[in-house]
Amino acid sequence: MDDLDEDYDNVPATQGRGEQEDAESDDEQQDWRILPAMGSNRRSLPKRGEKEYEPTGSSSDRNNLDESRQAMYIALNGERRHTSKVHISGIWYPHLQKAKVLVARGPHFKSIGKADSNGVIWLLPEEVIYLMERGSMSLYNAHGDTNISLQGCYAACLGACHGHERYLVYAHLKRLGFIVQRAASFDGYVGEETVQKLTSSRARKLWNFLVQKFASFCIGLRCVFAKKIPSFGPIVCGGVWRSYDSIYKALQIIPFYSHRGSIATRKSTTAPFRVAYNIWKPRPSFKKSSPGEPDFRVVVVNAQKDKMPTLAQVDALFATLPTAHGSTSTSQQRLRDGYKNVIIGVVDCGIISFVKFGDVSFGDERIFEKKAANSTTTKYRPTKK
Amino acid sequence: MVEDDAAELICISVIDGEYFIFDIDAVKRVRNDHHVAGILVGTLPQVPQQSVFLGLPVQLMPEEAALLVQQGVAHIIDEALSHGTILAVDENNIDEAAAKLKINELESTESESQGALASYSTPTVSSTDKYPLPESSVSAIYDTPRFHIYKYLHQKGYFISPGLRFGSQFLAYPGDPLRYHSHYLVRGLGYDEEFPLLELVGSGRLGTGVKKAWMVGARLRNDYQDNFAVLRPSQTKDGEGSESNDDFVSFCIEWAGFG
Repeated sequence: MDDLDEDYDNVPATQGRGEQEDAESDDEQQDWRILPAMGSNRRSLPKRGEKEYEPTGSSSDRNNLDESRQAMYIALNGERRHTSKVHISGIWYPHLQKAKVLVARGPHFKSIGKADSNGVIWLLPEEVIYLMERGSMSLYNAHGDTNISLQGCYAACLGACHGHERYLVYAHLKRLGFIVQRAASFDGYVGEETVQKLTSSRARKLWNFLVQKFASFCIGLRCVFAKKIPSFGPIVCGGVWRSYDSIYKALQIIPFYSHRGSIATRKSTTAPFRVAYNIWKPRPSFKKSSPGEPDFRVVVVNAQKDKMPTLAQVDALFATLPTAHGSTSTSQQRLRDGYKNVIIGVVDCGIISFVKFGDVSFGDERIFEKKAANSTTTKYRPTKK
Repeated sequence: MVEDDAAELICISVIDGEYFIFDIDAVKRVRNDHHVAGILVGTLPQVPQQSVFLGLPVQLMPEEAALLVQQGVAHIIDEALSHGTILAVDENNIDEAAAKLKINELESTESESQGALASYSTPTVSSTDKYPLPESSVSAIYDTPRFHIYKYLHQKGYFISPGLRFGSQFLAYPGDPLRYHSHYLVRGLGYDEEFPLLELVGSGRLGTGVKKAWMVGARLRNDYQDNFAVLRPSQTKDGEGSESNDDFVSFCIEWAGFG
C-alpha cells in the first residue's frame, strides 16, 4: 500500500529510530543473567538482553530459559538488609496511618518524612513501603514485639496509599532519583496554599482577559476603518500590502483558543484527575520545608477503570495548577510544554505509562512573524511524552 | 516447604483489592508449572535505584489470580485479616516506652549474631495464621470476555501479560516473556458485542507496526455453537485442546501492504 510506505518515508530518521527503541524497550527485554555483575559496580545501568521469536524446543533454548529464570530467582531471593550506619526503624500506627520514626540514619530523610512540632519524624505509608522494599528500614508493630515483614508492611500500609497505582508511580519515580511528595490535592481536598495561589493567578487572568479584549477591540476597530473584511470574495484584497506579515494577519479570521483569553474559574476537580504527587528533579539544595515550585506534577489513573478525562475534567485540573512563567522560553518550548502541564501516569496491573497533558495555545504563536524574521522552518513535536 | 509438598495450595495475597505473591517458592511454582508470570512490582534491594529489574512482590492480574483459584492450585489470602492481630492497636492505650524496649531487645539480639557491624534485615513473608477467602471472592470475573480470552490463550500455553504498553487488554507470549517476544495484542469481546471498525484499523496497524498481530476473540454463545461449527478451532496438533477451548473463536488481524 502506497500510503503505508509514504508514512514511513516521511518519518525523520531520528524519530524513527527512537520509536523503534521505544517499542523494543517497552517489551521488557530484561536479561537477569547480567544482574550479578551489577552488584560489584552499581554505577553502571542495567543493560537489556536479547529475546527470541518463539521457543524452538532445542536444548540450548531450554538452557537459556533455565539460566534466565535461575538468575532471576536468585536475584529475587536477595535479602533485604542494611547496616547500623544507615539504620532506619519505626513503629506503624494503623489508626494514624503513619509510621513514627525511632532511628533516622542515612540520606533518605533529606526528601522523605515530616517532623511534627516535637521533632518526631513521621513517615507516610508510601514512604514506609518504599524504604521497606529497598531494605533500608525495619518496621515494628505498636506493641514492639514483631519485626514486620514486607508482606505485613503491604497489608498495613497499602490501603492508606490511596490505591496501589499511586504507590507504583511513587516508587517508580523514587527509584529513578526524583524527589516525590504528596500534593495538596492528594486526597481530594485542595489545601489553603493552593487556594491563595489560585486567587492571585485568577486576578492576573482577569487582567489578561481585559487586556486581550481591549486589544481585540482595537484590532476590530482598525479592521472596520482601515481594511474592511468583505462578506464574500477574497479576504485579502484592495489597498496596499507592504509585507507578508500584514497579509497573514488579515488572514487570521478563525477564532482560536487562547490561554490568555480564557478565564479559569475554579471548578471542583473529580477523582482521579487530581494532582497526586509533586516531583522535583534531584538537587542537593532541596529542602523539605521550602521545596519551591515542583518541576513536574503527576496524576495517577487506572488504565482499566478510568476513562480518558473529559474536557471539563482537564479544565478543572488545569485550574488548580499555577501558570508556568517562562518569559525566556522559545516558542517551541511553549508549544511543547504549554502554559501549564501535568503528567498523567496510567497504570495497568503493575505497568506504568506516562502521558503529558499541556494547556497549549497554538494560535498565540505567530509562526509567520518568525518565519519572516529568520526565514527558517521550525518543526514541532507532539506534546505526548 | 512448598517443594516437598506440591499439592499445597499457592497463597495469593489480596491487599486493597490487588493480588500479590510474596513467597519466592510460590513465584517459581506459578511461573514454572502454571506459566503465569505476573509482573514484578517491588524495588530490587540489591540495585534499588533503577526500574528495569524489579523485585518482589509479584502482582497478578485479577484474571491470573482467578484462573489459579479456578484450577484449584491456589487460594486467596486476606492479608489484612491475617495480619490483624499483629497490627492491632488500642488507640487509647499506647505504651510507646514498653514498645521501644522490646524493639531494642529484638534489634540487639539480631545485631549480636551479626558480629562487628550490626545489620538489620526485613523478612519478606510473615508467618501468621492465614485467612483464605472462598472462591466466590474471584469467581465474579469468570464470565467476563477478558477472562474468557485469558483462559483460552492460557490453555493454549501462552504467557499473558497486561496490554497497556500496546493499548490492548493483554499481550500474549509464545513462551516465558523473559526469553520471547509477544506475538499478539489481545482483545476479548462478548460474542455479540459490536466494536468500531476503526479499532480494527488502529489496533491492526499498531500491531503490525510492532511486529505483532492483533487478536480478537469471544466465547461462542451456547445456542450459536452448532451454527458456527465451521469457526471452531480444530483439535490442536499435540492433542492438548481441551473441550472448553472448542467454544471459543478468535481471529488475528495483520496489516498487509498489498499493491
